[in-house]
Amino acid sequence: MKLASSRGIRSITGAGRAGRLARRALALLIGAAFVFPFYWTVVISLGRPGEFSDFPPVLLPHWDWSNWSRAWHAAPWLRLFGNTVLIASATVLLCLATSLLAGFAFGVLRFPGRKVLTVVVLSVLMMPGTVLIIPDYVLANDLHLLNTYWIQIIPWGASVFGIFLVRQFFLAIPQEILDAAALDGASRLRVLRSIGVPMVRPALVIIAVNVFLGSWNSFLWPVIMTSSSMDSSNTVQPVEVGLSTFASAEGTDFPGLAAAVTFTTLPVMAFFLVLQRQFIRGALSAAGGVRG
Amino acid sequence: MRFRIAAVASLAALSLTACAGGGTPAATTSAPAAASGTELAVPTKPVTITFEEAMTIGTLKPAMEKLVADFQAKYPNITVKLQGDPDYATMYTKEKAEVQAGNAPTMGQAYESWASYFQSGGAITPISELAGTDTPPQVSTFYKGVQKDLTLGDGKTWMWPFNKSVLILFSNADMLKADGQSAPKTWDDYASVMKAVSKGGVTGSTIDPGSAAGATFGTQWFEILDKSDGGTLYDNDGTPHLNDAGAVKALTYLKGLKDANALATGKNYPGETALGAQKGAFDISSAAGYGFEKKTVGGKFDLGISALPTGASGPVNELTGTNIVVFKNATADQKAAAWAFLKFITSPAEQAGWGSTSGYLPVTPQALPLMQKFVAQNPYETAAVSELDTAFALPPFSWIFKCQGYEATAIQDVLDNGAAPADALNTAQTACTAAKTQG
Repeated sequence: MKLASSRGIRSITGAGRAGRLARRALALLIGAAFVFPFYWTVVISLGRPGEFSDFPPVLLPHWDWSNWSRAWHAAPWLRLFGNTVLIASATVLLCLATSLLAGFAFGVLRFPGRKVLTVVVLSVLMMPGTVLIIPDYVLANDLHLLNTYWIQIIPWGASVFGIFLVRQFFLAIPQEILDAAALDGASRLRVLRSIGVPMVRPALVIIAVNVFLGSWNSFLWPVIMTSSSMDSSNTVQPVEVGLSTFASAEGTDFPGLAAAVTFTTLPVMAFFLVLQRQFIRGALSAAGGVRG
Repeated sequence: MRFRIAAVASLAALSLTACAGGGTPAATTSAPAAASGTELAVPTKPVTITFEEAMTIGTLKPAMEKLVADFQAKYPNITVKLQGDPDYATMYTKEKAEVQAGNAPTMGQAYESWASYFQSGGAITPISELAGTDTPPQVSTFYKGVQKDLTLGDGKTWMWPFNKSVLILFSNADMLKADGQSAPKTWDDYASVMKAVSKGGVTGSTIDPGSAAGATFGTQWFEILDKSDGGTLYDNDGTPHLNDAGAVKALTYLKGLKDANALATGKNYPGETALGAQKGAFDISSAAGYGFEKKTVGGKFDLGISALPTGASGPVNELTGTNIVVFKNATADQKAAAWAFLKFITSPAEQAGWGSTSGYLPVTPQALPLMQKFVAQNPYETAAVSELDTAFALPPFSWIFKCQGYEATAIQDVLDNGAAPADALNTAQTACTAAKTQG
């Protein structure tokens, strides 16, 4: 009996180990699926002429740095990278502020027309952005915002999704907590700062990540709203516009593009790798805040 | 999905623009506007002109910069500022926005249909206002197909030639030789060879017709097939016949190749990529794409280049590339400088340099003797430029750009979604007719 039991434990342990191995193998496979495109981009960027179109694909780099050299001289990358970081960061900060304030107003404050205003704001979600690009350009021209950082930050500094998300979080906060704070003499801004912000932190993290990614990847808007030459050292254009210089109506310089994508993505990856623990800890503590 | 303050205020902005007059710059007086029969004189005081262009990559960029540098060396008081765009669809959107805002560049690249759109809105300047005549003497030096491509529906000259090309047939000559095939002479031959080489993981060719946002070479091939067989997709006044028997036959030809696994579709120059990967035998592309094809092949095999096969109507080719328009809101000095620039870049010497560096075809035969070295290295050049005399352009009306998008959608529907050619083209015809009605 004892022996059988011990066998059973061993069998369970064996099954557990097999399960763990299977899970790790699956995780490795999924991880590889995510990493491979970037790895292959690096391989193409270091490949010989014509190699990028080979099939089956070449999987080991040939360390030909000529594509990197050509790509590096194609645009003022440091300037473009700095522009992107500035634009994305400023947009995130602005968006967090507007989402928090508008979400608080729609979720907590009681005022006439609140529901109608909420619907009006949400209705903007229905409008396709490309339809508005020409009127937006006209407006930007009239406000003398063309070819500036402002035109790449201000119009994206409020997010319907962000406002909606924060509002939903505020609606979930028990009214008693807010009433208690008010009884203790807290002003609305104090309630927002001391109670609201900690409780909606998960929403703010989600908004920050989404807005940052959206701003980082933005292409059509900056390309239409800015027109400074790529050779200009005072360009306000972001990295994405710089990358587009590798494509034309007659063809695309894929190895050059791969090189530029690699050296403009590496700093972001390094930044995330260095700070990933803090990111995850922040997100988890934020999640804890929800439950609390 | 984001809330944009600008979106909410867009109507107000349009009203503001109307009130403000769109910020149209005031004309200066130093360069008198050309009266009838008077050509604008090159300005003598400093003037800056802007050029919206898409020559931002590879060999195109140095070629564009050399044109500008040569011009500025000859006219040191004129500065040309290039405003580069990544692709034509973005450029069109940007030019429309700039015109709407009264902020148009001095000059811009434009397809015939774009020029028609701008002309109907009074946004561009006729060449007669610059040259003093609707038929400047330079025009007669251009290839005949190029000459025809400069006028709009009113018969007047509104455009000046820039990056012109025609389609040519790139092939894997080694693959054809190994299979006992030779370069096809007719479209029937082409279909036979495509089917014969489509085996062992090879697909004859892969095309990208484009999308509703803009057609690409795959759609132009369809247009050439139709015309090669005597079809007429558009009347001279732009009336579409996208579901005529000839068009259905051309699309059925493509469907037949697809059904025989000799044709595939893709995005981002898929024919070039497949050819380079030795998974495709042919690629129909612009002669100006030669540099990209060569780079993609990377010396892995002998890159064959030949003229397009022919149909019942004999050799047929279609002009690719754009012209240049001069926008109306430019000052008199800017218009005068722009005219000097247009004449300069189409001079034989500059065309020879431009053609040799960019891969685009020179618009005048007078350039050929000056680019003998390039012609010797690129034997396809002689045949390609000769087609500039006969190559056709679609009628210059604003809706044609949209209609080509509908053609592209029909081709995609047939090749990717299995739609019947007649049904897909009926849909395209209906959409195009509606676009024509809208103007």
